[in-house]
This record gives sequence, structure tokens and C-alpha cells, in this order.
Amino acid sequence: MPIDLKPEEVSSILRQQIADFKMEAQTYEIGTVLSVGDGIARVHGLANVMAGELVSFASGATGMALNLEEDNVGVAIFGDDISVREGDEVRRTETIASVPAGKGLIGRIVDALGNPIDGGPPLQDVTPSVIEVKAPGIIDRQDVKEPLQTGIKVIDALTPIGRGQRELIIGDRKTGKTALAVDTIINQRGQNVHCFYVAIGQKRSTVVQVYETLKKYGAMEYTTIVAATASDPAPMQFLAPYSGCAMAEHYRDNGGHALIVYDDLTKQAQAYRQLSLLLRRPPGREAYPGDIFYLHSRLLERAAKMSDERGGGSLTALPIIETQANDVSAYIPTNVISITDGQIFLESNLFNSGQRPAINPGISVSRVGGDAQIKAMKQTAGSLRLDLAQYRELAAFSQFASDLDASTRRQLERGARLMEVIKQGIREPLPVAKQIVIIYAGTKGYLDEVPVERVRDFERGLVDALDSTYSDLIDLINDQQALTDEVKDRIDRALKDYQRVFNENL
Amino acid sequence: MFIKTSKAARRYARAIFQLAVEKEAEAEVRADFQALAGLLRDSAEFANLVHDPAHHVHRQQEAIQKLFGERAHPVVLDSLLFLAGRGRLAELPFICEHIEKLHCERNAILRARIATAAPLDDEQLTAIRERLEKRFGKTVEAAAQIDPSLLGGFKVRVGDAVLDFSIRTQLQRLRESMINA
Repeated sequence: MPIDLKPEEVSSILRQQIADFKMEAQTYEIGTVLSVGDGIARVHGLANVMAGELVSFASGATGMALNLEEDNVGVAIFGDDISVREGDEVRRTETIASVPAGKGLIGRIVDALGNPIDGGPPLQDVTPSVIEVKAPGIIDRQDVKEPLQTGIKVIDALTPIGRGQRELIIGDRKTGKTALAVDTIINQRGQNVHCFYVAIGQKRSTVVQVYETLKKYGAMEYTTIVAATASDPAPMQFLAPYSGCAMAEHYRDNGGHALIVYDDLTKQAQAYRQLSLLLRRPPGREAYPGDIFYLHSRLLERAAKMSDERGGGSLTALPIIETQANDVSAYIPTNVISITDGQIFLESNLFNSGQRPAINPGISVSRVGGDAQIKAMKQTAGSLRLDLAQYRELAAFSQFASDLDASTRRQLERGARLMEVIKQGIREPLPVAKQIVIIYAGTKGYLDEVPVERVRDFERGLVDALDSTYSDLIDLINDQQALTDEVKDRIDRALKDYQRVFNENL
Repeated sequence: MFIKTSKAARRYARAIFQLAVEKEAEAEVRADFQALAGLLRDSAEFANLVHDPAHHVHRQQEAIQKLFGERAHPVVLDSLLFLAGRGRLAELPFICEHIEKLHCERNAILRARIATAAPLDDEQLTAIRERLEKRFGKTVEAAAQIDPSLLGGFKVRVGDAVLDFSIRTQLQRLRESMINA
């Protein structure tokens, strides 16, 4: 399209601008770089600089003042430190780090400072938002009361997550932690929950994989990815969770709902350890600095369910922690376990024996989500938890006994089928009503006659049938939200009906 | 402006300065240290004597006695001999800086560096100094400096603060405002 602009107009606009330009003195405070290395600059001067303030170097690089000492200031440099030289001028900016927040971020991939890195156009419709803010106070909050449906049967039944909760996902490498989080994001489609996926210290190829998956399932329409990959400097990896949180808070504070996944906080702790050691802060346990607990607690406290006066918005956090050889008594895992409102344990031996998602239902807990479960699920899941606990006990015991009495054998048979029921394929989230029917079938003994290896087929067929033949049953459960006698009766009839069809096709 | 600093230098400087104040010889001591700082800059031999650890303590002390025995204030002479005895003579440049700083703090003096593209005459310099004194409410000691890259106007540095009236910065600002408009 030709731009219709005459040279005379251009010069008149320029003339106007020059005429409007006011000669003003620039006043600023400066310091001098004493030494620079490993992404850290020591600066002399800057006497009035504040902790956490951004400073700009003569080369154009920016940094954050982290250590204020008697005769120098320790500055973490964002980006490349090669351009910064000894003797360079450092200028105060009198601002603290902020990132863009708002609608313009939806569907984008940005770095820890909010700059788009997906090759797309500049961000539009965003407002700057300070990265480090205090968590909402006590009066501003209320109890977690609405469910955040993950679409994963075992989580929604046994360790339910409410909107505004912090639920930790913990496990060794390759146990399906990220898959669990991504499935949860995919299941938020149409739930009016804005999702943020913060990738910290990951491979760029992994981030692309997550992006492609989310795009394939239409989840990028309500998701933002914040990426500080392994090749980004430590200060960026340290900042990324706070940046993502600041972006997500925009929804929380405006009465909306947001979900944020920190994948993973172990890497963030390591980045912060690197920064701290280079700043010569004293090392403590596992060489982490003394304020490593505060690093995570102040981040996770920002997840909240706001009171109705404050709009009733929520921010749900799913932090991820990677353990080494299932050791949850290491420093960072114990810290984050104690901060969060419960944890989902993933175990590699479960994963390898085909129990996927590899969640250990025995030690996974949710401290607040139970209040947020719909009543029907609460009624169904109660007996599931009991049956599974009994099964685990008997399964260990029965390995030594050759012949068992009938009731024990029945419990073992039931347990084995329930273990099949809580299996679920990746990217196959289920709506809560269907979950209820399936778990009901398991706990009420409708699966006892089905061979263990056919349970998954039974379930698949049942899900299809619930979509077609019994779709009014799903509507009824969604409508009533509880297992009333009417609902129970309808489920029983439907299950008997389906059982007959299934057996005929056997 | 000093770049590097040492805690030891700060402590020695404070002790020497307090002693000078007690003996009511602040101005003389400061002048002597100013002269010493000048000497360190100008005389390679004196700098060598101060910095080279190969010189024996007694030889250093002998030299100091010979050089300054007659000329320096007793407080300064004793300080130098003491520093030599403690093997801290290498801190002398920093001590000079700190004495200067302490003197300025005590007497509410601000040291300003005024950079201009072209040399200033005395009248202009005084005018700028008076404006600064009014602004900061302190006595200002100004040092002029030529920096052609400023293009015009002037730039004052007082401590960590910079007041920038230079044409270079104004042009940069004009450029930014046109890009952002």
C-alpha cells in the first residue's frame, strides 16, 4: 500500500517536534564499574541506589542492583556481560524491573523481561506491571472454594486442586511432571482460566515441544509461555517465575482466573544459588544462600483466591520440583513441600511398571482442594481412597501368603481394577461428570467381573457411551452436582445396561 | 574520584584526620596530603619508594625523614613513618583521597567537576559555582575539565550525581523523542 505522505508534511511534522522540544537538564546518578565477570559487575558509587533497582551500563546493557555493600554495589547483568568493561559509567534508572501484562500476551512466547521471542509483532494492549510485589494480605483473600479441574481422574478424585491453591508436582526426571501440567492447561479450555507456562532452565527444544502441543490442542488461545532457557543467563532464570507471576496477577486482580505452571523451581533455585555465590553471599546447606526459602515462599504466596470485595479472582500455582533418586528430604523439595498446599508425587517405578500417570496416591495430598470438589466427586472419591489404601496394604502382605480367604482375594481383585481405573492416557483429559461415573463403576464393583487387562477397554467404551447413549446422564450429574438417590439410580441403570453390551461384545 | 579503595586506608585516614583535628592542624595536614598525592602522580621515584616492597622498612623511613623531616607537619611525618613501619605505605594514595573526603565532609565542601567542550573563563566558572552552591547549600570547590565530545554546554559531576546540560545529551534526547513519537 503506498503511503500518501508528502515531503513537506514530513518536514513540517519534524519542525513541530523540534519546536516543541524543551531544553532540559538531565540529572542522574552514576557509578563506575570496578570489576565484571560471570554476569556480575561490582560498581563503585551509586550511593543512593536501592536494592532491586535497575541500572543501565554505558554499553546499553541493563542490570539489577542486588548487593548493597559499604564500598561497592553488586549488580547482576541481564544479557551479555562481554560488552561491560571496567571503568564504564553505570547509571541509575530509579525504576524496578517490570514486565508487560494484559490481553496482548495471550498466545505469545516471551522472555523473563517480557520481550516477545516468538518472532511475532511487538506486544499490543499491555501495561507495565512491577515484577516483585507483595502477596495479597489476609483481608484481601478468601477460602479456596471453586475447583480447578485438571481432567486427570486420580488428581481430581484424590488430590483435588482448587482455584487459588498451590499444588506441588514433584518427582524424578522422566516421570511425567511436565505432561501432567500441560494436560491441566489443555483441560482449561472453555473454563475461562488464563494459563501461564514458565519454563526455567529448560532446553529450547523442550519449550518448542510444549508450545506445539498446546497449539495442537487449541490451548495457546488462552496461554502465555514465559521462557528462560538453559542458555539464558542466571539472572533471567531467577527472574522468570516472578515475571510470569506478575503477568498472571493481572487476571487475579481484575476478577479473572489464572493458572501458572513453574517448570521447574529446582532450576530457579540453582540459578539463584549461582548468583548468590558469585555475589559472595555466604553459602548454607547444599551451598544455597540463606534466603532460598524466602525466594520460593514469596513467589508462591502470590497465588491466592481473592475476596469478593476484591473481585473474587484467583491465581492457582502448580510449581514443579525435580528430585534426585526419589529423595524428597533434600533441601529444595522439603522447602517447597512445606510452602505449598499439598503435593502430587510421581514415582519412576510406578511409571516404568506402566502405571501412568505415575502418581503415588498414598503419599500425595491436597490440603485445601477437598473443599473445592463438587459434592458428587467427594462422595465417589471417599471409597476410592479407602479401597486403594486397603489394596496397598494387602498387596504387600499377600506376596507371602499362598492361599487367601475369599474376602481378601475379593479386595485384592477390586484394588487391581481400581489401579487400572486411575490409569489415564496422556492428552486425554476427562470432564468431571465422566470421571464420577467411571470411578463409581470401579468402587461399586461393576468392574469385578471384567478381566483386569480389559478394564481400560471397558472404560473407553463407557466414555463413548456416555457421549452418545447416556448423554442425558452427564447433563443430570452436571445439573445436580451431587449423588442424590435419583442420580445414583440412573448411574446404576446405565452401568448395568452398558455392562450387558460390553459382555455381549466380549 | 578514586576507583579502588581499601578498608585499611579508610581506617588509617580517619585516625590521621582525627589526630590533625585534635592538634588543630587540619588545614596544614590536608595541604600536606594534597602535596603528597601530587608528588605520587608526578614523581616516579617517590611512587617507587612507596609501592616497591623490595625497599627495606628502615630505608623507607630514612628516606621519608630526609625528604619531609623539615617540610611536613609533624602529624604527617609521624603518620608516614608509622605507615612505613607497619608496611602500609602502599595505601598512601588511598589515604590521601580519604583525607580529602573527610576534610570536605567536615567543612561542608562539595567537590564538583565541570566538563565543557571549550575552556571556560573565570566569570563563567564562578557563575556555575554560585548556582551549584545555591542548589546544594554547601561550599563548592570546582575543577574544570575539557571534553570536546560534549559538543557544547556543560556537564557537572558532584559526587555520584551528574547534572547534564551538554549539547550531546540534548541531541540524544531529541533523537529519542523523535523515534518514540
